[in-house]
Amino acid sequence: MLSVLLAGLAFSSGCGRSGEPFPVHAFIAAPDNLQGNRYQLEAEVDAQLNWREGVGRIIAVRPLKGDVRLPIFIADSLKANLLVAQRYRFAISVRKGGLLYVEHLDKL
Amino acid sequence: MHRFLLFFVVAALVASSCVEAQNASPVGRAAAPVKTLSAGSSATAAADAADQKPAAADSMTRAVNINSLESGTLLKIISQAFDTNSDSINPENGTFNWKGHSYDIGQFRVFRGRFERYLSLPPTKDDKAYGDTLNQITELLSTRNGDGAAGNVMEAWKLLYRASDYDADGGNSLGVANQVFNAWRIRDEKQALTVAQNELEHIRHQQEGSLVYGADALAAETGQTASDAVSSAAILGNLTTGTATNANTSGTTQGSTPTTPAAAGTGNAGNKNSGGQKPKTGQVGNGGMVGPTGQLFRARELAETEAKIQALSVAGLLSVTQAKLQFQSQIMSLFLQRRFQHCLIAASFYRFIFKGSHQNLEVGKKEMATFMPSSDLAFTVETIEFLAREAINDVNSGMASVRSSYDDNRKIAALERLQETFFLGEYLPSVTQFETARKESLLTIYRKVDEARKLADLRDYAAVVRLNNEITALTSDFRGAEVNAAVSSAQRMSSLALSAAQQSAANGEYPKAQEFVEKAAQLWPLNPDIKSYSDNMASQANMGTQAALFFDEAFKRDDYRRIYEKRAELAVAFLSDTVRGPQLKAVIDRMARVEMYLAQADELLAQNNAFSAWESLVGATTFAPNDVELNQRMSTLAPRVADFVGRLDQAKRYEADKHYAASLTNYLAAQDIHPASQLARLGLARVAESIMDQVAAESPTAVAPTVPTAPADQVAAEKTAVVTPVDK
Repeated sequence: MLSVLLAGLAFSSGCGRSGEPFPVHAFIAAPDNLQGNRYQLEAEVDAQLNWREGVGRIIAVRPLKGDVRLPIFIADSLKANLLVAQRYRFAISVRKGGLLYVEHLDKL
Repeated sequence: MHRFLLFFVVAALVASSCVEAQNASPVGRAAAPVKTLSAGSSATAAADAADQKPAAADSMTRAVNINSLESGTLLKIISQAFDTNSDSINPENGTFNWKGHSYDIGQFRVFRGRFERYLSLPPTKDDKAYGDTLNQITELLSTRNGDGAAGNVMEAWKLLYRASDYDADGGNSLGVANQVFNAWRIRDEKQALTVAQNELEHIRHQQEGSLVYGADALAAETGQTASDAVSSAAILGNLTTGTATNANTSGTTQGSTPTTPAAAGTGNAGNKNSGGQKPKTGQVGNGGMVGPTGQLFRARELAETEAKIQALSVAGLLSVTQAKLQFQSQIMSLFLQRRFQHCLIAASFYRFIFKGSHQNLEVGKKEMATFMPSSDLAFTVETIEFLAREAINDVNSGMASVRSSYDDNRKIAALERLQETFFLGEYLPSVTQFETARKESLLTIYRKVDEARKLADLRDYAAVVRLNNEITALTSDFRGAEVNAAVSSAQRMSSLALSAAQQSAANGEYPKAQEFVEKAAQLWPLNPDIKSYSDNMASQANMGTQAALFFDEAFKRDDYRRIYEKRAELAVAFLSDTVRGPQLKAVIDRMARVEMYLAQADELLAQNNAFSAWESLVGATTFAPNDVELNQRMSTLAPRVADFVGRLDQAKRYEADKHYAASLTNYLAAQDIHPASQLARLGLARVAESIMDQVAAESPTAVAPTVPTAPADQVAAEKTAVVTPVDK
């Protein structure tokens, strides 16, 4: 039981850098500076901008703490069923060109 | 919807401005560049109009061609109206016809000058005195007066010298007088010859008698008969047989004449001395020798006398014939010179000088035959007299006709009759003594008509009409209405041809235009519109050069605005420019769209929609990025849409750097600012697609999804609608 708690602490403090909140304004100002980083973004689905079968979709999301919409890419392999106004917690990585790639998502 | 409305409004404005430019252009409506300037729906109408232009030009061409044929007729009408020449006169070959005979009037120009001089000169007192003199001569020679008394003839002959003193006579009376004198001299010579001939006849009789007596005496001595002796003598003395016969018969015919002493003594004419006394030997005749030698000499003398008589007879005959031929020649010459009075006078003298057997014409038969072609009668001096009297009567009746026409105010007819009468009776008193006032009036008309004819030849129709009206006011029989109608028709046809030229020039068919202009000038060289047309064409050429310079310079700097502002003039100038014409059309199309966007921006600003207005201006930059007007508008509007523009600009730059995700973020930001932004919407769609391409190319490593099931209460709150595409 103790070991489980320690593991949980370790995930939440040290090993869980991907859980950092996504710096929206920093990203908008200089998206290249965030390339390679991993963040957590809680946002609401605003609109689907594009979808290509077998590849994935681009979704415009609105962060819960902010009024700027952000585009994120969700691969088809995630098999997610998204609807407008749904809220998710996205585990994202900033890829080349500033692409916010969804690694994992949880519905809030 | 607004965009379409604005589009039609702008297109209509462009088209109307082009039409105004056509109307104001030097080439006129013909230079309509509607086809090149129209845009949108107006282009269809303009194209239809352009299609109709060749048809209109063709119909005009046909009209001009047809009317040009008629114009020849019209011009002939004018020429005929101004032709005052009598039908008897043929100006082309310079002849005048009277009774089937053609008088050569020489160069018609000279004849006209003579006629004009006649009209301008008043008759003098000398003319009347001269006419009276000729009439007096004619009267004296008339067979009704004195039956041809020698005194009258002599008096008439003397009057010929007086008549010759007048200038109007031209020396013809003197010629007649000389001819008469010559005839009289020949007659006197003939009388002298007759006297000489009679004397020789007398001598011949004596010689014959002597010869006969000698022959008889010789025969008596030798035993030969007289006839044998004479024959022998004739043979020896070359005496002709005729002479011998005469010698032989002379005693018979003139036996009563005591030509020889023997004959006189015996009184037996023509006997053969069969029973007469024998004369003594050596005392024959006038003491001549009686022997054969003496007879021989006597026969020779007789032959000589006979020859002289014959020579005198022939000489007399020749001189009479010569005088007759000369006289007839002069009479004929006077007749052909239309000196009819002198012809009559000369013929009268001829009648008195020559016997009736000499009245047949030996000269001038051929000329007389032309006056009386259907007659096979022998032509006599009386025939010439008849024709001369006929001519005088014609002239007198012609002058009566002239006066009658003049009094009826038919002065053109009077002029025509006077012209033909003048030529026939130029030297007759009835013509020379025509009233001065009438001549002056006719001369005025004659000069005006002549001037009008010359002006008609030069096609100076304005002057022709002016003179035409003046002539019409002077006389009632001038065909002034026809002239005016013909002039109007010619002027109208010239204008028609000029319109066709303008149409052809507008279509760029310059050779055809030139042809029509020449036709217009041919019909009416002084047509004032031709000068305007030429000036316009010259200015158009000049304008074309200037326009080309202007256009090239502006086009090089992409200053479409300046080109657009001068589109009307440039369109006219580049009608036939195959390079600049299409370039101009492209610029006008481009700027027409810019104008449309500007109008749209104005409308949107009026609706307080600055972002859409900006987008309209941005749309216009596609067509004219360097347009000053557009850039000014954008700079004015920029502060109001700075954030929006900043996002869009940033998005574009990221997109250009292939930072699609960052670009997408900025497009979304821009769309947040102006949700209806077309630029943002299109940018989103475009960049999203690029991202997809990129991701697909990179074969992204998909993370195994661990999607939890949404709580039931949240699901109920979710919208049921599927996520809509980018369009918001």
